[in-house]
Amino acid sequence: MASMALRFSGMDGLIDHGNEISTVGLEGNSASLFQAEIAAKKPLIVKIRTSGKLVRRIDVTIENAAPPPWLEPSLQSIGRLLMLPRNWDFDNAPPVHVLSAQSALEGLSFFMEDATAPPQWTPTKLGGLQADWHQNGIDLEIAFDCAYPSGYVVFSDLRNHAGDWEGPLTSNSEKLRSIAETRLNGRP
Amino acid sequence: MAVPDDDPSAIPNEVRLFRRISPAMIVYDGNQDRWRATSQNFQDSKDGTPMSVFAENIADEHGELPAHFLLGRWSDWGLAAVVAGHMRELGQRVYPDPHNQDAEDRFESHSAVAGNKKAQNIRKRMSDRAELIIVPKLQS
Repeated sequence: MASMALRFSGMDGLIDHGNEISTVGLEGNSASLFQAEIAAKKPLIVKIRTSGKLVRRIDVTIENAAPPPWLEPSLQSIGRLLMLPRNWDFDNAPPVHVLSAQSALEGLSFFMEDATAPPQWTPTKLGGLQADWHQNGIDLEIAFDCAYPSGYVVFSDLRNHAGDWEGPLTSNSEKLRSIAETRLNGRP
Repeated sequence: MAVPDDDPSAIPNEVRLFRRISPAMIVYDGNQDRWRATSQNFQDSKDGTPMSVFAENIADEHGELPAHFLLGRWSDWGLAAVVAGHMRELGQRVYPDPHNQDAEDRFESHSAVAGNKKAQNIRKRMSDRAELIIVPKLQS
């Protein structure tokens, strides 16, 4: 059972008038800084600086438990995806929205265990995120975007396709907990 | 405007269709021990035109090679191959569509895969059978 609560204060499109920003990169999420802030249970701040003055940031506060091992790699991956520019797919895709990142991390916190392998994160063409696991004989995809802000799941059991299913994350969290316990341990 | 028909005479079921794959939308598949294109790659364009592919049989006739589809702004992208018959099994129409493409990015083998792709499981089943024949350049 997941025992963590996440609190977010995502800000998208904040204009930082105080600083001329010309670098491209992530700030405030190097592994060492991350670990120190996690240990101190301080808010984690993933600050995305792009060329120009746009600053995007996610503040994540771990309220009642030690952060799970999957959180830091997920924040690192999501931070990189938040830097994708508009039209990154040459088909007018919007940038990944901070609210999608928030929804995705909240959605995973409903069923992920400490031993659960972190997903592989990719963008959707609607400004959202998709979490993928393809391991231990299963395919599991959860998409978070404007079509399903709280997540839509497609699960395939490659050893027994009779067990395949799909549906909203919120109405399938028990199934996902069972999958996390039995099939999502270890690295992808 | 008439909806184009499926055209298995021009693009038979066994023909491979090549689809450009974004470097941001691949994941490692531990079950198959290979990179795979995510299901998000298999969608129609936002302007409503059907999903673009390049039909290998038509490409062969015109001397178009897979590497030709990844020139210019596509140079970091990859290419996935999936046979036309699999798309038809998923309720899609497959037909040549040489006129519906950018003038500066034109190929005779340009073809369309038209049909409902809104269901995520349809897109996933497309990605399940798609083989990445050219892996995108991984982002640092």
